[in-house]
Amino acid sequence: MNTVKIVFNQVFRKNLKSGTWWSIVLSPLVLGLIMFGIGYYVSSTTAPAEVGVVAAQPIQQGLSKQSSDSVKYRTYGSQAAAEKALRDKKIDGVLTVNAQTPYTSRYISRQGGQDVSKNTLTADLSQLNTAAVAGELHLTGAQLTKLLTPPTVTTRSVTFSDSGKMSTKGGADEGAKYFLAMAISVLFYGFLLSYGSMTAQEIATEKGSRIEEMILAAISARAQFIGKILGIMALMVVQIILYGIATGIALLVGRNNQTIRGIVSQVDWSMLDGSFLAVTLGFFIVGILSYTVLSALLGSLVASQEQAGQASMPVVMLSLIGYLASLMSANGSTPLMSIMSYIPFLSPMMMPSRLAVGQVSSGEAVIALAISTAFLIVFTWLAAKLYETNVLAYSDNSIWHALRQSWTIARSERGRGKAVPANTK
Amino acid sequence: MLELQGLTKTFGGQTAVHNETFSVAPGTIMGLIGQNGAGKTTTFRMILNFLHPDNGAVLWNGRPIANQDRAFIGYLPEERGLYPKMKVADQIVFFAQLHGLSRANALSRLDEWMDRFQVKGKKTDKVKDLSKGNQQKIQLIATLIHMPKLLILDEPFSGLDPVNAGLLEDGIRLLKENGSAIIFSSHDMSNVEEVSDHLVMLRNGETVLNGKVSEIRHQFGRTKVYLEQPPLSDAELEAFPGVAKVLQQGTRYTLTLSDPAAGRALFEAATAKGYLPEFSQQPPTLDEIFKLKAGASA
Repeated sequence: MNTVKIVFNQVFRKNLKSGTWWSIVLSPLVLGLIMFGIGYYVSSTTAPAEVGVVAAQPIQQGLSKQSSDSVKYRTYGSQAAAEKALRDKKIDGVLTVNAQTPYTSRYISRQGGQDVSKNTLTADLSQLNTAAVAGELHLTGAQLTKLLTPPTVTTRSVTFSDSGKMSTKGGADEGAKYFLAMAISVLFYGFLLSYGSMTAQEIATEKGSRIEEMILAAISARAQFIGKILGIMALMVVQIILYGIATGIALLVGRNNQTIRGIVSQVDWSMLDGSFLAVTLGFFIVGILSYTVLSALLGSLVASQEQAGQASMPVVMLSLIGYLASLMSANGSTPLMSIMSYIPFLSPMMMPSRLAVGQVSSGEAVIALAISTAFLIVFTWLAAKLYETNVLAYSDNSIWHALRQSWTIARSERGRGKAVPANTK
Repeated sequence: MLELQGLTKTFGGQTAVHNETFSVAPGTIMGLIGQNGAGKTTTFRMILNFLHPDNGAVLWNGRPIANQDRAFIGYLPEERGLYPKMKVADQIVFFAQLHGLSRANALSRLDEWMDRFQVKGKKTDKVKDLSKGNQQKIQLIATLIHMPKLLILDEPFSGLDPVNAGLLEDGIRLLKENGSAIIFSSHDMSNVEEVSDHLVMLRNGETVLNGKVSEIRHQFGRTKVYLEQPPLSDAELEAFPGVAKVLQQGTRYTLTLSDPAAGRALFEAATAKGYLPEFSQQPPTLDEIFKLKAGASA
């Protein structure tokens, strides 16, 4: 059997059977389920606030008709009757309205009862107030409609190409894109941290326990490196598929659920164009691969399993910069942000967000993706080469010391077929 | 046949191994001895192609080992480790597959080896749940299961209890009978003496001894005499011509001779009054030779 395939199988199967991998996969799902459950419980147990109305009959009727899921209006004939109901905790507040236009009103709320915002009451009353005033002024229905129609503002956001050509950016779809870009940023960050530390840990364990030497006695370091990276990628693909299935089931089960329908209907999915999705997916794959290769490289520098944390530190720091920058991209573009979004490791997180809010064109994003991809190829080649020497260099001081050792001797050994580890005892 | 031809390796101006030459024929066992830092691990790493020599070549059956598929090699590193959370069978299958065995073949051989090494534990147990001794056995099985044509063991006996050390010796002999070329390093000269056919001793990267174990010992002459209940007093022994040193332990004496020829006169004097339970004139032990040679560098 091909040696890359053997290593791939081993990494894939070992982790598929491990509790660590399943906890990476399941914890976001469980968390999501708990959050949804809490939200569902809260919304289903919260009854509308009950407001007793003491006012002239037309106002009472008008308000009763405006009862909603959050506020229910009840009518009382007298202030005393309403206040008694308040005392008996049958209602949460009493609204007394003076029928003289413009309406004036007073609201007494019971402490411990459900809150009703002043805005809600004002909004509900203002409709009735408007109708009453219209009646007094003897306006027709058409006049009233005209009076109530707000002015319209249509927006158009444009970008200019280098040649000065103006093109319109779609305005309506940016919300959906930004939402997706943010979701991908969070997912990306979570994935790269989980898989980065998993990769570093995996290699640190093998190196620290000298299993590495038994493996390299039989196969080349390069075959092992590639097999390992591919194995970890496959685990990630399985995780994404599992999430896809989970989302599918959630939508299927909850298709009649108000909350889920609310979320789905808020996003105008048709506005997500193919090029945005393709670029974002491209960045996701290239980005995660870059970080995985970096983690593998750093993991190969440790002398013992205890140093594995030290190895994943640079990954955490670097990805945090990209992550925070991607979150800030919504606040506007700066020259620093523009430069950063072309730098490999940072661009996979920043570019999709900036593309979503229309700070960059698809063309610019494709250029950044091309830079990241080219870098990934060179970086992987270099990492595989360094890996050969790193896995045999042990330094108890720090991984940076090990890196220097490995690099110096790899250079001095150039031309002898392959690089050579330092500190060979 | 493994051949090392004039291997030299330097690291940053320091010579790790200098002009090292020896060969290991199929069906023979070579013991590589030397103090820490003598160049044993560097030698192994050059054989394993982890390192490339500055000069010289490592050949397997006449061809450079670097250009060959290395599935025929079995290697046990000095510091040991396995995947703690993996099942015994999964680990062994992984290492066996790396060396070209099929899964089914590896699993059937694993049963034999677990019997042979009397492993207490099941194939489905996780390695971390086994005792240390049984973990050591599993690692040995991982190294030996594909019956390597070239077996390299770095300090295989260190940390093994006498029972496991005996099992390892049995395993090594099994591979020897099977025609494997075997090379191992050790600090414990008794293991080297019992197991090896040939011996190479390194000191600061230089080869200071190279040959058959018995020949090496006899190079130093029969300078040791072991006596039990001799009819001579301590003073008489110390004053005996050709005796350099006397060491007494109970009724047993160990004499170091400055001239092996003095042994004959000593035997005659010791047996002059008749029966003597022990008189044995021997070359120095490997341990003594090791200390002698290693000390020479200090």
